[in-house]
Amino acid sequence: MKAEQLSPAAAAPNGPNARLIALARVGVALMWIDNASWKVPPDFGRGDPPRTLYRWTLNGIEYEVFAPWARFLETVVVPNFAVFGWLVLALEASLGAFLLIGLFTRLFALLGIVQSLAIALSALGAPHEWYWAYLLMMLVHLLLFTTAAGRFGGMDGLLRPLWKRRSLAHRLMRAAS
Amino acid sequence: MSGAHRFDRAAITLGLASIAAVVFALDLGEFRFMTVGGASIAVALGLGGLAVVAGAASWRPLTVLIGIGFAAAAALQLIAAAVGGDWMGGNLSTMSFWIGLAAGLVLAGAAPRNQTSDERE
Repeated sequence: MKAEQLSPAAAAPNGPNARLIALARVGVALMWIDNASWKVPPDFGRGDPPRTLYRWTLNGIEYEVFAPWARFLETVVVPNFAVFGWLVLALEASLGAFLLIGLFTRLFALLGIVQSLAIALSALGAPHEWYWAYLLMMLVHLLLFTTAAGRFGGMDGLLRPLWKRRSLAHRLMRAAS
Repeated sequence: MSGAHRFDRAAITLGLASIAAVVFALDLGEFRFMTVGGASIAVALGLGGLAVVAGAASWRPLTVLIGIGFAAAAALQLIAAAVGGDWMGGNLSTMSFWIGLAAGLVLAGAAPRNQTSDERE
């Protein structure tokens, strides 16, 4: 099998299918946009009682899913929670923003998988959680990555023809899109 | 619009998206993905409308300026949220949305264009 047969462009959908891929990308972006609202600086929910992001982080320790992750939360994240909170807000707001316009979509789809996994490892053990929700989050980002969804109705599709040079920057941007 | 350059059509689409976001001024319950009210309505309609005009007229510097305007509005919204103020009338979801519009508009206005027929549709 030739390399180009494995690339998303080789089996590029068009017409209605391309629009549906764009619709799915925008839908996933709206999920991140919606959930950026409750990562509020500067305390990110620290206080008595703990709220929002801080509460969910503590859940990852109290309702342990994976021991090394719970230990990481307890010894690294919680003592440096302000830094962690800003990082989460920056990442999730960027996921919403960049998936929305379809810019560097494959990179952000991978980051979406990583963040979905981090959320799952923190929240999965808490009461009333549905593990399929987190698995579906990871799978839908995998689909956005596999289809290079930003090339359909997104900025990636407009900008990729401009990233033709063999320079490192252009190669990185092509890979990210 | 059918003769517009792809980047101009992107600017128009992003402007229309901004205008459409005013629907979130309504109480949509669980489907209120972002808060839009007060000054943020003016940002959404004003900058969104200007983006449509800039795209339709192919005024690239204006498209870039509007993108910078959305970035400034996003920064102000972040500051408002961090200090507990509500003077922008939005929330951090609105900020995330505006970051996307800002990036898209700056790139749509600043991207080099090859004036060949295959770039126009």
